[in-house]
Amino acid sequence: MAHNDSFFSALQQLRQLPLDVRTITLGINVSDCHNHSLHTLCESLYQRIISKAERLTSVCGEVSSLFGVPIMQRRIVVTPIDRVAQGFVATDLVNVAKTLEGAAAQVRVDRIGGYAADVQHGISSSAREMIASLPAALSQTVRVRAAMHVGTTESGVNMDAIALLADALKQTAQADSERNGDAAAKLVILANNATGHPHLTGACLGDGWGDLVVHVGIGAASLIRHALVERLAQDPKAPLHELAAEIQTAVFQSTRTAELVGREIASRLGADFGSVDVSLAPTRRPDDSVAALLTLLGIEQVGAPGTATALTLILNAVRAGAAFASCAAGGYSRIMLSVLEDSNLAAATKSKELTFDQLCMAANAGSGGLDLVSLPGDTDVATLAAIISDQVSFAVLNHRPVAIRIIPVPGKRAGDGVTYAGMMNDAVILPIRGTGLSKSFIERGGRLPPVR
Amino acid sequence: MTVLAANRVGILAALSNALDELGGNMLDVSQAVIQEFFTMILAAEFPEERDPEVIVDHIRAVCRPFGAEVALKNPDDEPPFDLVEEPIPRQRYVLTAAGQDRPGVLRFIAHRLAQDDIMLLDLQGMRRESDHSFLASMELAVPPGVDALKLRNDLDNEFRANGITIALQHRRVLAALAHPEPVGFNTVSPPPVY
Repeated sequence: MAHNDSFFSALQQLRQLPLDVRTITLGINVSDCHNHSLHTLCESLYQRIISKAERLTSVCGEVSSLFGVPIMQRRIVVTPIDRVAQGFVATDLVNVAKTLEGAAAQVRVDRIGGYAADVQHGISSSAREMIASLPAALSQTVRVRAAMHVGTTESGVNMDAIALLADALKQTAQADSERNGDAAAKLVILANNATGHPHLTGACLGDGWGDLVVHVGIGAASLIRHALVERLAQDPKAPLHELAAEIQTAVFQSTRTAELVGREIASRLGADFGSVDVSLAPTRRPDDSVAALLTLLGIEQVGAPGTATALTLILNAVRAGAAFASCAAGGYSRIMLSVLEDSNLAAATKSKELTFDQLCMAANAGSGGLDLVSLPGDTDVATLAAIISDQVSFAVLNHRPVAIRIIPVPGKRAGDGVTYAGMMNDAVILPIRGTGLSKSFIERGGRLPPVR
Repeated sequence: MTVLAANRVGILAALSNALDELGGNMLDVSQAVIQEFFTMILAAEFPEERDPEVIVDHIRAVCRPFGAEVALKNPDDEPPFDLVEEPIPRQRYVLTAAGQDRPGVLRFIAHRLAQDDIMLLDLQGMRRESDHSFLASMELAVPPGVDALKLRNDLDNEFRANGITIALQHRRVLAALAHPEPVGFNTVSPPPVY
């Protein structure tokens, strides 16, 4: 016999991974574009982005064909605009946002991040202008993503900034009311996350990176589902540690492949290679969602008791697999319970099986905060600020990063359906309990001291 | 030279004895046991004055207990291949097909590969009698400009309905998965094929 069963099993290892690279993010240093003339600033920002990123889309296509790995999204991030565009008023900053939009459109990328500021200690006048510019900047652009960093474990939480942002968030949603407040989804509020986190929606090129850097992000839900389905077909009663090992292996394989893709793109663009991130983000394939993974593990519905344990198991296995696979695994891994991007979660909100409280609980058990959650449009600013500060203070206490994206949908009440162009799913506005009862607390303002 | 013989202990010893006595030296060899046959394809060099008929007769004689069949070709006597003037570097991939056996799978794959000017470097495969499943693995040399994603999807679309799975992986992806060192430390990519 030339070949026997061991040949069979060895070759079966060569199975195709259902791997997509979720994001390729090109970080561009624009610090030296600073100028006191708005026109010169915008012109040099535009030229810098075009010159560095014009080949990004075609190189992504070439490398995708070479390795047979689809690339879903191409993003650009730049140095926080708050540092580059100091001394401008809100209307000027809107023009800067539009410049970013134009450059991103010109090089055909899906998103551009960097419209961001650090306000964890206090709010500079520039940052204040930037917050004031958010409603116009985000409702008049498509690709621009904004981020505001409001607190860290070491520095505490800036409650004044949170109150200001809650107000800006509501105005942003209002300014985009004909699209159900879609613009509010483009603002992310961060804590324990120097704004340099390259894999977040509102990321920017943080401190300490070079002039040009490529990051690669993997959405692991489909891989993990694939691995679990195969294991459970062999042994439907497999214990949890065996399932964790399957997850770890699948994540290892996909991290290795994605890093290869990222390094090839970086070398073709003449950029540094930054980091690999494996996060549990839903994909456009049906059933590729965290909720579906929980079902496979044996939790019939997100939010049921045991959800936190299952999420912890998945997240730990993901981190272990990624850490062994790569020296560049960023440790950013998180679970994204993005209601609007996850068909199973969206369905759960429609059937009223998933409540806002359960999402908050899950957000604190391994996921990175509230992500794309639609709330009633009449939610008052103080309540929005209190929701944000709850998430932020949990994260600060637990020494972990958090990103919050919530949308107070103008003119909609709890229980109404809501649809967004570009988002895969319809969702139902989730009711919030205790609205308006935290007003005096938020109005006090000030800071939460650092956590010791 | 190809050698086909009964697969019994001592065949390789007999064959290498015969080659030694002829003053031959192996340059490249591939050997497999297919069903109950010992098969070997080899390239060897012999002293200039050695007559090809003598070589074949001597090997047959030494390997008589194994019923060896020998075929020999002298590359100098063959018409030259049509060589491309400037060879193009090709990327190496491994294509694996697995599933329930049915006629025509290899034919379809081979035609699809030929369409894209893809060369086959190596092919291994077998059918498992117990459940009539088959597995084939081939190493490909793919010219520039071929979209691996599209090729895999084309093959996958053709066979998915029949329960046959197709995997197409770049050599560097396989290397990244097989080596314990992280990517960037194990980037010795295989040399391009011309």
